[in-house]
Amino acid sequence: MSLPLAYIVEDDEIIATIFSTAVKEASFETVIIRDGIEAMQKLEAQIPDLVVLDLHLPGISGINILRFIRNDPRFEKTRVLIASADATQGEFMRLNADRVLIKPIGFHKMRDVASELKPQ
Amino acid sequence: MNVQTVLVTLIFFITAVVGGCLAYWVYRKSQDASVTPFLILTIALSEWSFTYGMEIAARTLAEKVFWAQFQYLGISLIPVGWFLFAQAYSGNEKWSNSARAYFLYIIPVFTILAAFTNRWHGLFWAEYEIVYSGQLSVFHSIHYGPVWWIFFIYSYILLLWGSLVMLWAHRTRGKVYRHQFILILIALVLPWGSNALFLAHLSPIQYLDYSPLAFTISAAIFGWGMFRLRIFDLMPITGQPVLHQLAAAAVVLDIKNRVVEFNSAAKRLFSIRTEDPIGMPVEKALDWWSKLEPAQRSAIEANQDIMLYIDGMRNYFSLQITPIWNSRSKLTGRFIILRDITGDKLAGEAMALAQVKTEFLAKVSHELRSPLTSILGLAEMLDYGVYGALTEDQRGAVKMVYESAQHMTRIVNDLLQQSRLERGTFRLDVTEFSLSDLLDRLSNREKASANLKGLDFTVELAPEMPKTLRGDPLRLYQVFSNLTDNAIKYTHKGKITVRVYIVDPAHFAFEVQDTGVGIPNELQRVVFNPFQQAGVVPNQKENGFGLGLSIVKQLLSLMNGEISLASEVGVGSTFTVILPIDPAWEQKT
Repeated sequence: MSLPLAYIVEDDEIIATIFSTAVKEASFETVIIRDGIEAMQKLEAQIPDLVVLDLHLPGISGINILRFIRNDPRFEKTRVLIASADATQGEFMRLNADRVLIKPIGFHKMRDVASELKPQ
Repeated sequence: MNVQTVLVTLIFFITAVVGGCLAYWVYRKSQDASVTPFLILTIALSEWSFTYGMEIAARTLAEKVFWAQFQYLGISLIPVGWFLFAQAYSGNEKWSNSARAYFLYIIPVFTILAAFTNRWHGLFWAEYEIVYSGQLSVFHSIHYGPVWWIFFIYSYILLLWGSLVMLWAHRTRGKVYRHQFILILIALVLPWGSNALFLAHLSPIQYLDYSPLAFTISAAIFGWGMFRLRIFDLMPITGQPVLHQLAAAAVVLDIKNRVVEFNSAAKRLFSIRTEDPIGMPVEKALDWWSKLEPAQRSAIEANQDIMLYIDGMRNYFSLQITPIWNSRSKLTGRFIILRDITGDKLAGEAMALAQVKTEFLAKVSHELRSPLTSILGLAEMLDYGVYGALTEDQRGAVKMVYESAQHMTRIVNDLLQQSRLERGTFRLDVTEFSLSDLLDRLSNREKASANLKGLDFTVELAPEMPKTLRGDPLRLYQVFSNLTDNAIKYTHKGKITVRVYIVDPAHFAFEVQDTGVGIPNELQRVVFNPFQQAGVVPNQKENGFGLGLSIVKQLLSLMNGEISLASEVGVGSTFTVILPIDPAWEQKT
């Protein structure tokens, strides 16, 4: 059985690597996406099980990507984990996302939360 | 013609020429509103002097009557000219500006008509003759007619009124004006005196009227005063009492930028260099004038805020420059008002600064989160062995990196919270929660760090405390842990005791007592201010931003709670938080 798929949408290279490693540690296959437009293209191409989503992204903002995911029935089973440095906006997103984590987010924390969001 | 007649005639002719020159001179010199009546006055005097001289020189009664009639062309205008000059001089423009000035000429016009038509009605001179005084022959009216008496009374009313107006205008003046005052007094007394002599038949040459002479001398005094003392140029432009009642500094400049008036506020606020700056060029009289921008110095009209350094201090003023126009719409000067707005300005700056600080805090907090994620994440990954197994030393170093990053995270969180509290965007999340659960969590965490320092940590929960409370458990935990963290941080031996108990039916207390270094009295007042640390442990590096207690106090204020402190240096501190048991916290959030 293949591993569940996680998109790591994060423009900071180091953070993307850390998150990707942590999510892999939680037994996901990961794809790192560095901007909003690429994220939309990848979402059209393949439906992930988990999206780790930064809110401030070049191209299309994380808020719009979240709105797109939530309004499309194809992503009914896709879990969204917001990982943002913007505490205020992050809190506003709490209702629409499965989880909201405010940076700084440690390696273990990301791994544990990703584990919790793994499809049963 | 005898010598005396020639001499007297000559004197009056000279007087006439002087009067004419004065009129021409004043006309060329000044643009002020008071000039028009002064011109009327001097021309009338000149005319009177000339025709009086002609009358004295005339031989027959018919000739004398002829010239006496022409004298009234001048005489009848003198009281009006004098009165209007006095009004304009004292800054009372309602006379020179309005049509009512024309009514003043009604009686003079009738007087002239009556004088010229006297032979048919005798209403002006009822009976007249030639009288001889020494070698002079003079026209003399034995009985005056009613029109003459009307004019006589009218003239004296106007002359007296004008004189009083002049005196009144001089009641509050500076030194230059005092000189003017003495001159004007002489100029006023002369015509009155000569007239009194004439009427009392006390003049050296009986029946000879010196009035044209006296009036012309007085006009010459005004002319000289104008030239030497700038009577017209420095005419008081504005009403005096209003100027002095102004709380703001007020200075009146004339068209040549000389100080004409200034009030006591201007004197107080600025060191006016000389005792009496009136008449001085403004840049000499007022220290601060040179500090203004060239555009402000020459502006006819301005309304702006300016900053001046006075004695090395920044002072802000609202500068208002208003032009002063005369009745002929000519610019005669400028009215300058400087209102001190330093207090308002500094308060505004402080508020703007506080706003900038709050925004800066939020920005810093936000921007530090991404690099902190990298540091924390990489440290954890190293420790976890993602990049291979670490030696014991390497593991120790990574742990220090991790702990430092975590400490920094706390600071960043405090900064964000502080900025939200300052902005008023902080919200409490109120639910029901178990107090004992919250205290267990606190105890578990703090016991570990207290024990590391060899300290005892105990929690005493009064049994009568309710099992569940309503409130924001996360923020309450933050308040409690902030206080216990501090207690552990500043205590090096002994114990930390947490007590939770009922104070009164509506309130409970959360008390943290330590046996630490204590806080000196003078610092107890400021420990709750943002960015303040008591800093009583010189040998120990106390980390933190000094935000902890400030945030505690602000959170408690949102929860309708209070905090108090009792402390003694070397003995320890007790922080007591009082909170409502059944809080209406929602109302405040």
